[in-house]
Amino acid sequence: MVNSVVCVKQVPDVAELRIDPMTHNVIREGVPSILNPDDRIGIEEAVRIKEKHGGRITVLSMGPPQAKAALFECLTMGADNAILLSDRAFAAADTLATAYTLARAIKKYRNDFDLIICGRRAIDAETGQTGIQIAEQLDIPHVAYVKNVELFPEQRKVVVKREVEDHIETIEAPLPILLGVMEGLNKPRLATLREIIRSKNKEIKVVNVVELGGDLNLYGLKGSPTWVAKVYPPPPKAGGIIKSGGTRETVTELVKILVEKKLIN
Amino acid sequence: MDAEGKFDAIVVGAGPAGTTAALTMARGGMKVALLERGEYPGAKNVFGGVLYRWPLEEIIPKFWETAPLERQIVDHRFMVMSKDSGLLLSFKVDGRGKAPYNGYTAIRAKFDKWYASKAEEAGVTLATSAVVDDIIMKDGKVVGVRAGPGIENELYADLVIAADGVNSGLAVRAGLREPPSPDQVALGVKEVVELPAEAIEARFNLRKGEGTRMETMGCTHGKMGGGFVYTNANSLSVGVVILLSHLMELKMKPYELLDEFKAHPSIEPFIEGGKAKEYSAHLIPEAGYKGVPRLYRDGMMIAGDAAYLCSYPEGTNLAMASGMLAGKAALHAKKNNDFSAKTLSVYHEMMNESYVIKEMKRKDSSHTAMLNNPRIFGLYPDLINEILADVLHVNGETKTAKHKRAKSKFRDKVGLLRALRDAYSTRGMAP
Amino acid sequence: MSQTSNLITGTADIESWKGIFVYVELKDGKPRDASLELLAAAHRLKESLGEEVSAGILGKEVAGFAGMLASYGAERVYVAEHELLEHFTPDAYTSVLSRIILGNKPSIVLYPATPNCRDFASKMAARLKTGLAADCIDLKINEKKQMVQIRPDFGGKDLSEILTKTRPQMVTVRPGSFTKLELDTSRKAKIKKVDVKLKPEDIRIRILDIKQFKVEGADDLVKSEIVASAGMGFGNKDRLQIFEDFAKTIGASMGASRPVVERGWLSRERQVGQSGKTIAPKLYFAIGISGSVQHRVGVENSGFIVAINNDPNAPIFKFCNYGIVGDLFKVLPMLTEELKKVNNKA
Ligand SMILES: Cc1cc2nc3c(=O)[nH]c(=O)nc-3n(C[C@H](O)[C@H](O)[C@H](O)COP(=O)(O)OP(=O)(O)OC[C@H]3O[C@@H](n4cnc5c(N)ncnc54)[C@H](O)[C@@H]3O)c2cc1C
Ligand SMILES: Cc1cc2nc3c(=O)[nH]c(=O)nc-3n(C[C@H](O)[C@H](O)[C@H](O)COP(=O)(O)OP(=O)(O)OC[C@H]3O[C@@H](n4cnc5c(N)ncnc54)[C@H](O)[C@@H]3O)c2cc1C
Ligand SMILES: Nc1ncnc2c1ncn2[C@@H]1O[C@H](COP(=O)(O)O)[C@@H](O)[C@H]1O
Repeated sequence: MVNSVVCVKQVPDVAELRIDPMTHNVIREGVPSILNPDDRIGIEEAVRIKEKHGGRITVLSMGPPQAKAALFECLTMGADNAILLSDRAFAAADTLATAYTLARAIKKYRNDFDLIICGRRAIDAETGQTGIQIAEQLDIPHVAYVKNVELFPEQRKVVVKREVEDHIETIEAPLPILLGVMEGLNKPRLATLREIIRSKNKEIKVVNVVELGGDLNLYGLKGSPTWVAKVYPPPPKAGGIIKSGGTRETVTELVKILVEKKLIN
Repeated sequence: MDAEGKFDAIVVGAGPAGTTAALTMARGGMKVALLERGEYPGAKNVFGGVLYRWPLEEIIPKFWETAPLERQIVDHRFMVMSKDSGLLLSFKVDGRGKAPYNGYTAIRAKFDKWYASKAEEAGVTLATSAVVDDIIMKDGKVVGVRAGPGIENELYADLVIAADGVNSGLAVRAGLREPPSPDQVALGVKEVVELPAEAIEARFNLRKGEGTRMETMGCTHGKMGGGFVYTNANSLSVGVVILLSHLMELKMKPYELLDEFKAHPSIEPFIEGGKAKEYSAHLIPEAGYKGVPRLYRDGMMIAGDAAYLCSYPEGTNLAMASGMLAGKAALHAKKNNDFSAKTLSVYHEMMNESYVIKEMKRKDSSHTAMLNNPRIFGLYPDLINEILADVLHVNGETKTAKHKRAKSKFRDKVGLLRALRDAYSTRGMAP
Repeated sequence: MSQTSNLITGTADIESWKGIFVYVELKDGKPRDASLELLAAAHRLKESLGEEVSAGILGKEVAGFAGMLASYGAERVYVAEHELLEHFTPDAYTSVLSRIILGNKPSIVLYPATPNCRDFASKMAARLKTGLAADCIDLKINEKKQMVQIRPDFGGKDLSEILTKTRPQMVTVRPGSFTKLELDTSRKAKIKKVDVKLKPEDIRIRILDIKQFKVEGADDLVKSEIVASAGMGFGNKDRLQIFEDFAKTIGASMGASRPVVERGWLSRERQVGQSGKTIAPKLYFAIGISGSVQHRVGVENSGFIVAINNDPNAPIFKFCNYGIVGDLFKVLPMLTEELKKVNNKA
């Protein structure tokens, strides 16, 4: 038996940015939300482990009520139950506050876990910090960049492969542990029709800040040591030549410049 | 769902037709699965669109109090346009500000989701992201559907209702009809243009919450089709509809047509300054009554666009009406515990008595005529505009001379008899 | 659970944290350039802060690098040597570095944004209950003497400035964002040997094996003198043929923007930008690419940037050397044609 908690985030689908056929501009509005790709790999791995060793899978997310859709998807892939931490008080959290919130929920609702699985990174911000910070707050070890997982529940250990830059480490670690998983670990399954229907009866528990308890000063923006002070467009670089029209003359001029500058030969 | 994956009935497609059928059956005590390929019902569904009060009111009384609706339609407009002018007719009704109204604009992504939630409340098991790709047959009877490989993707039922829209892969699989041919369907392309509510109300001369439905003709290069502008709460739905085979003859991209339409001097002021929010395209059944396929077989019925039950711009209402009758037929079959074609033929009988088929027949009378008559979508709109422009232009020439010229123009280009014949042949087009 | 209480504390005694600390990562047995660049960054910060620039280096035998770190700008070097620091493990490294940090209280800690350091820095930040700004491209000091950490905003168009309420202010910095100082062997540093107390049981994971591998694929992208990238302006995969023709004609490696890769039009190794490759070819073409900051940070050090885009307001025109406002489906084939003429002459 291996009990897993998989942390998942709902993110905007970057592949779905659509082009307006009239203006050729990108339509960003109404871009659908999806389950973060690395997290889908996390849930798949948890289900494979469950299929092999038994146990229970809880998926956990912090986010707006719409994130239920992402959690439901995890249920249809084989997770047993889901918890959504949703409250205005959790909003605008940085990774440390997010990790605090998630860690607290894990302690409170699934303290019998053997394994926590996170994605390597969420595609909306790509910090890749949250999972590791959850592990530290729960005082358990972690391995990031995991590309292969082998479990030995009787010996309470796991052997994983960690891929960084130009080498692969084989690592043995005790349970409980947190794994940050990435692309290439597995190929996530498609939900089956019957599992979709069965998932209708699985629980998605929505938890607000009152229910989660804890120190209110440690959640959301208040609990975040970092904050965004300013957002502004990057400064233009001077000196560029801009030609409108896209005519033959422009193109020949460009080629001439490239030849003169010996950028092409 | 029991352990063998069985329901009393499976409905494929959570559009207006499917949701109505599922709701009707669940209310009658049947265990129903409603399968929808979208991430949620309506996620990718497209219409103009105006939702009519009938027959939704029969299914959900006072739906207008809770449904996500955009504006109540009090202003019906019709425009005959040429390349750069337009004759506009406007008819205001229901303008006294009292619900219920006869029609409402709606956004399908919101409405279909809400409507399906009503079916869930009635006990329907709704499964989304469920793409059905085949029916399962046994001994010549439809016994279930399949949504992928393996038994875990199979679902069984006494009855399958295909309400999977105009392309209806399932109706085709069941041998009830063929895939649509280019002269059986029109392509609708639509853009949602965001505008503040106040701007919409000012531009269309509306009170708060009121809406306009505008249909136009003469914007399809003489091909069968037209344009539309509908007012939503904070946006306009602007689109062009054109028979697919005619679009292919035109050799234009659909969005080029829409581009032209949006730039037309009679349309552009409505949308000026608006921000394009989304763009979509969808097929519309245009096969008329003659195109309506057989509606049932052993263990299966079809409803809505899947059965070509659409008489543009009326579609959702016909889909709901057919879904409701299919649901009633299912309850009848359940009572007799017999889902054979023979029992299900009651669906066909009820449909024949209904507004749906009667309206389809009326429309059909003009369909073929319009299909092959380029005058209607090109020459007439142009001529009407040309004559009006001439007559209204004050330049010292007498009106009598202008009227005379108008008459001769008309005679030369059309002829009175031909015009009368055209008028008669297209009477089905009348609202 | 030892760490979940009183997270946001270190705000009370901000004044007592002083100095700029650079974590020096080893790669292939020596300090990697990305860390040396951070010493230059630290000196930039020092101009406004006037505080000491120190470096910390952890490993099995690393004392020999202290002189080199001094030559690149470190004024003080902490050397932590131990058997158990031979390979990076989050437990050992966090235990040692957090003790150095808490013992000396620098107000700023810089890490290169490499995979191991991003892993390590995340744990450090949680251990020290402080903030960590990820993958920044620039750093400044504001009038309140706070470090302003600049990184691309999630929206894609803008930069954002991130401040940290707690101390130390920690940040991972994108390699290549700063240029390392000239090597100057006359610079000297105070060297401080750290007394490392580590027991095997402090490290909860065990590395059984390490295998090097050769990074395959779009290696050529990084090495190429000419790179051309395709963006969403192509509309769909089928229309990339003219792009391939162009790339072949001019002898360019093919790159792509993130959505192009996400849609599977080109393979993942070809992604250029913040979460893809950073490149600096002599000549770069951005075709049908809007020029979001995330893309920009990966290409802006190219020698000469050419952009083709039909939107005159596209941000790409704010940092290219030669921009053509026009339909790429018209311009690109013309360009290919003209290039072929040049090729034929040569
Ligand atoms: C541009 C345009 C404007 C229109 N304007 C109006 C208007 O103003 N008023 C009006 O009343 N009507 C209008 N219509 C027509 C109207 O949209 C349709 O007649 C109506 O939607 C038909 O309903 P339906 O339930 O039969 O099919 P649909 O609404 O098409 O629903 C079919 C459902 O089945 C699902 N589905 C399809 N295949 C599968 C599968 N294999 N597995 C699972 N699910 C599947 C789809 O996702 C969809 O949810 C318009 C149509 C268009 C295109
Ligand atoms: C955390 C994070 C990391 C990211 N990392 C990266 C990264 O590593 N690399 C990266 O590229 N992006 C990255 N992005 C995404 C980035 O923000 C942009 O969304 C992306 O770069 C846009 O790609 P694009 O320019 O191809 O598409 P768009 O922004 O859609 O631009 C397409 C351009 O094509 C033009 N165009 C359209 N039709 C034509 C035509 N016919 N002729 C000429 N021009 C035309 C349009 O005017 C438009 O400017 C990241 C985003 C986030 C949030
Ligand atoms: N709001 C959240 N809810 C649940 N899990 C999250 C959340 N944010 C991040 N994670 C997890 O942490 C991983 C890394 O995220 P990030 O640090 O944002 O790149 C993700 O792949 C998730 O597994």
